[in-house]
Amino acid sequence: MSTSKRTRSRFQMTLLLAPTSLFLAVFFIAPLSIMVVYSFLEAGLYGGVEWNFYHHNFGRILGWADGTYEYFNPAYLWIFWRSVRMALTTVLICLVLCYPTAFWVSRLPDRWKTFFLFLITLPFFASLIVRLFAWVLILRPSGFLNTVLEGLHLISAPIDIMYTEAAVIIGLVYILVPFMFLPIYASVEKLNMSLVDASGDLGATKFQTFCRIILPLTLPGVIGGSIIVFIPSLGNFVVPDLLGGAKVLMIGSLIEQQFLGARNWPFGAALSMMVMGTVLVFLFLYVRALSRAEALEEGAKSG
Amino acid sequence: MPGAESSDQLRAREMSVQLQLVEAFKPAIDIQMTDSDNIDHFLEIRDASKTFMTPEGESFRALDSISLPVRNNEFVTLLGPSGCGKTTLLRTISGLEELDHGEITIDGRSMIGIPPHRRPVNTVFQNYALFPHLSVGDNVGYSLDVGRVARAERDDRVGQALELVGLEGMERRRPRQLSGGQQQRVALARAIISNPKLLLLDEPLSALDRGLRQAMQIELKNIQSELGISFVFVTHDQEEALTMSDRVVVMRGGQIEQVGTPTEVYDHPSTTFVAEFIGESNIFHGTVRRNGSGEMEMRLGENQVVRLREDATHDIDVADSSVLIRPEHLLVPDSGHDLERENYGALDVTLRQTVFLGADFQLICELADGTTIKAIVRDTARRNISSLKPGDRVRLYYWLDSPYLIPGTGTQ
Repeated sequence: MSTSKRTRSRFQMTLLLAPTSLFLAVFFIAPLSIMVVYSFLEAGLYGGVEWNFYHHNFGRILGWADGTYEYFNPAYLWIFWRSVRMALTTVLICLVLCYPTAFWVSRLPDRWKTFFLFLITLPFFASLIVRLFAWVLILRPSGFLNTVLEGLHLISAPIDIMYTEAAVIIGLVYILVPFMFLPIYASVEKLNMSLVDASGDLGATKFQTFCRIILPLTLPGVIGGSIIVFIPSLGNFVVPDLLGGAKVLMIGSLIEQQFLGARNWPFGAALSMMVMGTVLVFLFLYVRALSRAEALEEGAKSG
Repeated sequence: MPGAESSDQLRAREMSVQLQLVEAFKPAIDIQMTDSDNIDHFLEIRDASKTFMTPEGESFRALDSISLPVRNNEFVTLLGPSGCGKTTLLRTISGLEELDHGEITIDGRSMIGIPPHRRPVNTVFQNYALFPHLSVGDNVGYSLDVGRVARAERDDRVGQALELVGLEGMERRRPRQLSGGQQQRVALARAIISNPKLLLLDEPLSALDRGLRQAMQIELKNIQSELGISFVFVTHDQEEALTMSDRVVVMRGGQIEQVGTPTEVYDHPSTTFVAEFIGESNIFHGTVRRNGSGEMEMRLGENQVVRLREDATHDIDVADSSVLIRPEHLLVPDSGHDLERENYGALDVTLRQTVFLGADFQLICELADGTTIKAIVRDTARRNISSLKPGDRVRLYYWLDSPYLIPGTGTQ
């Protein structure tokens, strides 16, 4: 390829990427920088910020504080831990629901596949709030679930699911399950079934075939789905607000309260940084695992 | 990459040298001779039937009462057009499909209800089905790994298997870094490493280009006879079937049309389908009569007759008999020469087109009634054929033994 042509194609690439780059710079990098800066500022008495370097926002969460205005409170770490735990539970439940379903759908005749994928995306047509209130109607003591269970004489008194961790997890799974399903489905659909045949033919039991062939080849979808379910469930505040109430406080709700209720922007920003840090740690682990796998392939290529 | 392919071919030729290695892969059949020495047929398929449901809800009979015995150390080819059931038959032998009806026995043991991983059979799949996330070594060693063979022995045998197929030292490569021919060899090494007693091959050569395919045909045949195991080979390529097989099984619509050696099915096809599917053919349909002088004849139209030797078993004076004359059995003598009437018959045709094939010429001709006749003739001295032009009247001769009256036609 001639030099001028290469320059031209690079120019074209820049031009094509410009809108996205500009959008991300204005609407992602800029607000994020504001949050980073705010997390190290002092909260103003009547909201707003004082422009002093102030690290006690993180101190309140992680174990040091100035002791006069701010106090270290382990409750924050505890809320944080609970949020991570609930997000991981959500990921796990989504995974258990989606993995077998993806195999089932991938074996349907084509027109049924299309229909099923349409069903998966159907909830997006209705408002999230409306759908969550529907869950309130289902889960509350006099709600649909308890009426049915009592009608079947399976329980004698209504079970109180509303405003528990279980209710929040049900809600999170409900809204995030499509984000797990689609990446897993994509990798399952790509799986060449003749590899499964070959594995059985070569003497592998069904379990061995699953561990050695099916799982490794669908792992990218599993990991991708897990990440895009984990991130929004960790930071979610709508679901815990509606289904968890005041009893199940998650980190997302805490941040929301700091910004809108307590008007303590710096502390809210510090909490947000903590969430982002956690997500980054998980992403880092994922990328490292991925690049290690690729390095293995590179090594094989040159060797 | 053309360089890679030609080195493949070179390797294919070197292969015969390495065949002594094959000893290591001979299955331990001899040990079991006590209970199998009176069983002549290593694989036996009896009355096998299989029906599929299409997504539209119609049932499709893929196998219709197939019976086929395969001997020890035999190379059997299942040949037929797509949808004839040959691949389904292969999959029922490997256990990937269950029969609806009938039975398959391997080495005297019934395979009913036995899952694929417990059958003494391995398969080379159509597109090789190599595991993309595993290295070549791990692909080849897969059956040993799932069988928990000790590491040192496993590595040894992987090395030997790769050496056998001419890929020594490639353990750490990935399948997608290999050429088509190399992938094919990996698939073969993977299938024979666990010493199967029967190897199934599902169109393994169809993705290779012509030169490599021909080299692999010979190589496969060599490996088979050296290993001393039975091969069941599926193909839709009649040339492949004729080249490699001890016996050819021609299938159509879930049934067996004919079983025979390559020369049997080529020279004496049992049906017009087999005659047309294998090789080039001129088939004449009509009524066969005795002409009183120890010959039979089929009248094609005005003054055109196909003469053939007396066949006492065939019914005469019935419509719709079929007579086959292979194109290479038609001759064009030097101009001015006629061949004697006692031994040769003749057809008067109009030449439509001459196609130069290299060694031979193909003449595409027409009878007066418009029937196309193909002839393949040799003219190494470039005398008689080269001078022919489209539109010329040509007399095509055939030896009286050449026309073959297809049995089973004309009987109603």
